[in-house]
Amino acid sequence: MIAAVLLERHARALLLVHAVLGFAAVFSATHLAAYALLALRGKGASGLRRFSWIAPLLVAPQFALGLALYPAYRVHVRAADFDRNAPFVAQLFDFKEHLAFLGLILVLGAALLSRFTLREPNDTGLRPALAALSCSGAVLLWAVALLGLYVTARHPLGSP
Amino acid sequence: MSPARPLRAIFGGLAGFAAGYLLAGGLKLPVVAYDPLARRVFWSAQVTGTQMRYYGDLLTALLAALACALFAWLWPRRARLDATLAAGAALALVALDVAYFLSRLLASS
Repeated sequence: MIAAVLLERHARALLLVHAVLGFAAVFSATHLAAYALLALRGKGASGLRRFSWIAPLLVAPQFALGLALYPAYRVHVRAADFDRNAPFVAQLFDFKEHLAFLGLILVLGAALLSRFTLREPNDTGLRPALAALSCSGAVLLWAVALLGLYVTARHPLGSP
Repeated sequence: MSPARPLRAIFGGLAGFAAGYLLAGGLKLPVVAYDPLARRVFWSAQVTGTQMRYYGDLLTALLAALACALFAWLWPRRARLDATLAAGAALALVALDVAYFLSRLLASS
């Protein structure tokens, strides 16, 4: 008999929220990156302003929800299935988690930097840095989303 | 000239997070760990079974990010900041993290 794990009763519903929020987070980070690239040409200031707060507002809770669900995954998916039958998938999920940490911090950094870029429109030196941070963050989040989909397809949390 | 002090703190924080996360995970430093079955939080370098050290690694990286951001904030004000170079340095550390974790993944296959 397995002891009650944090959030395990609501794991399936929360996994759905995690998925929906995940898509929104990835797309918002992608928009932030696209507007950062436009900013290199001095365009897209209003979009950059908008996504400089939308992206962190979606990515941070998505990340927090993933962290909250992790104990249930660890017990009911990884220990019960992956560690025995698919150890590489377990390692793949761990890799995804590491990328998520790094992607989150890059998106947060890019969002902060975009505020300075907007405040200093004549300082063109910030724009390449913003583009590099936001594009790297978006690429990492896309990788996280695709790896997450693959692992969930193998064994979704909340299923036996 | 950029508003150097907060920008330095942002880039310093990014670099500090990447370095702290790599050191905590790579060197298996003692961190806060969690046992989801026992619902117990403890301090350890090694975890077994379903025990996990993600929260501890993340906490360590956040503390490193805060320390580096503070250090960068207090850096002499007259120092010029090349934002592209600073972003490149922070991204190089992130790339090092990705390469390290990818190597561990490939080694396990």
